[in-house]
Amino acid sequence: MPHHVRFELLLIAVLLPLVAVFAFWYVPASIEVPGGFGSGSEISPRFAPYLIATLMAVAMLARVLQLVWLGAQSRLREVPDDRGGVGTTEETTRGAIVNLTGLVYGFVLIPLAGFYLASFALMSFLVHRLGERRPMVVVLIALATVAFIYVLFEQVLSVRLPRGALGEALRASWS
Amino acid sequence: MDAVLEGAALALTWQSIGAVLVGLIAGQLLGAIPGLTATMTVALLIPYTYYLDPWVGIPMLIGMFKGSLFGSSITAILVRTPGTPAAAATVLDGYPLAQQGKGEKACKMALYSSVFGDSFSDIVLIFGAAFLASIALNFGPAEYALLVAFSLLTMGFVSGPNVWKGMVAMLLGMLIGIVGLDPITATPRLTMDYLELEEGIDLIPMLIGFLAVAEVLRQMELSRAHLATSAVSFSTKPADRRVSWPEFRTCLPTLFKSSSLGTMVGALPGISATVAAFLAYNEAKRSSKTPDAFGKGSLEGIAAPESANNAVSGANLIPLMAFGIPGDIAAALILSALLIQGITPGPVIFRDNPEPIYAIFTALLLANVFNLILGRGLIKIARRLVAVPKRVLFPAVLVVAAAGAFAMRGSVFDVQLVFLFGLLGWGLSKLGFPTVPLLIGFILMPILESNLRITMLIAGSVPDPWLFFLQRPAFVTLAVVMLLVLALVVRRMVRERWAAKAATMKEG
Repeated sequence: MPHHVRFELLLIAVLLPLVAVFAFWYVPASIEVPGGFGSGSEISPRFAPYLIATLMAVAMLARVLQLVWLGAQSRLREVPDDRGGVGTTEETTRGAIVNLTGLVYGFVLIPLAGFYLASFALMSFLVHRLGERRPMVVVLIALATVAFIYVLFEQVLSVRLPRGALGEALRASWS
Repeated sequence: MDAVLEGAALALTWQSIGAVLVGLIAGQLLGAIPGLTATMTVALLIPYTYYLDPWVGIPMLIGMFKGSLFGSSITAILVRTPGTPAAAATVLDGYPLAQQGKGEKACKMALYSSVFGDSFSDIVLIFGAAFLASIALNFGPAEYALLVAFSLLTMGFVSGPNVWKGMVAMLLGMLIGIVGLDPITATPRLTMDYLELEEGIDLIPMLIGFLAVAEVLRQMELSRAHLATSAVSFSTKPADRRVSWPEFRTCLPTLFKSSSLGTMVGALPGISATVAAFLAYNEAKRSSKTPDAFGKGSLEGIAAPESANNAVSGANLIPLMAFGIPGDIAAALILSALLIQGITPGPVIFRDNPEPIYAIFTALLLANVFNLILGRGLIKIARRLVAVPKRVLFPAVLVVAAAGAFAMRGSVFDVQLVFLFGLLGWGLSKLGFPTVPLLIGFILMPILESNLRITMLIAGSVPDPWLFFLQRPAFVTLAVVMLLVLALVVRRMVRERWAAKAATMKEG
């Protein structure tokens, strides 16, 4: 069996139980049905999640049947490999680190340090990590980006970007 | 005729022309910032128009609306970051073309298509507003549900080589689309007890996350040598920098078809330019002689969504002008500006006081001409901006995207969603799932769900449900047309399969 077909079957083997858990446990446990709106009724709030889960399961089972059929005819090698963007392990690791950096920026830095400080830190880190080795240039790029955002959003559009817990604490201590 | 001339004279003063120009420039520049939609740019400008003469304020709003739609396409093409959701479909072929060094050609195609779609719908608005509006009024929940369900069905078939992955991605998008309060019972669904999710997930963080952030993250994986180069390199060959007449002529059928589709969608209240762009892209791919070229840098793939999303802007004014009913939020904002200026659109205005209407029509056409001229200048500026190395541009895109996502609702949660969707988009692309069906599923699901459930409620409450559907001429006509299109799709798929089989047997 070609590697990409095995990978596809593995993917379905992971996703199908997830869909089942979603339909049989998560939907009944999390979506309440108000009195008079039976769970089998088209006006039940569970109608759309059930419909989507069913269609997902049907799409995956149909693919499994198709692969079984192709396997029986010894035609599995004809199945195209659509994983063009997978990349090497090294690239995926680098991608995971950048993803983590983005999440830390959104979930930790902005709420704590505020938009401007967080953005300055993110810009400095990423520009340096991606290959710029001159510290002065890194700082200048980060400062210029933050200044551009300040002028555009705060001055032109009157959008006050978040100050974070740190900014609010500083403001409170000054006033 | 006197009314037409008097109306045109109102919009052809130097103040009005200057206002259109200012609105266009501001719209094109602001539209290029991710998160700042055409609606938001118009909303930002409205307070300033209170202090202006009506024939300065209204042309400025029109210019801004049209300018922002084109401005958003530039960043969609060059850095895969649509400024507004309406330009999301332009990414699909615009970005691959830019990666081939043909970014300038792609931007020019987007500009010509935008102006074509805009002018087409404006002409339809001028000559057929009342007729089209009367057709649109026959569209009820059943017709909306049928139209959207059909779009999703065809999308699943043409989403890529692996149909099941396209279907699962689309269904995942639909699942994300139902997060929030149930539209009928107001019960929280899939909110995980987050209060922020009760309002549902906004389109802006979703689009920025899946398109811009996911792509930037994928690019940041690459080697440092690759990241030291410019984000977009531009070919110096004249053929790669301009759209030739034969190329434009090849796209003309797509332009007419997509503009018509955009005009029809725009005339229906509640369906956005984003939906029109994806529907037109879908249809252009389905009916193209070279569907395999779509997604790899096809000019038709730019012409279709750009002409359709711009056609919506004029067509949105059809129900507004004919009946005084705004078709979408932007039209509602223009209505509020008209009301502030003492102009009440509707059937009576054409009879009693038509001059302002003809002045608006003149301003619309004028804005199209100026959009064409100024758009070329914007392309030149954008060329210089994207010449900076990727290691500088990509982190800056992340930060600007985060600010844009925050600006929409003033919520840090939206910024967090941007990075979560970026992670999801990155992961899905690693597993070979297409992201376009996911976005379309997300955009269309709320429209489908509410209309489908209302239709089922109505059909369930009448003695003969079948008769309910058969007694609706618009529903029957739509169903027949869709069955025909579906038959064509299936026939084509079968033919392609047979052709592939024949080719394999020949090789064997």
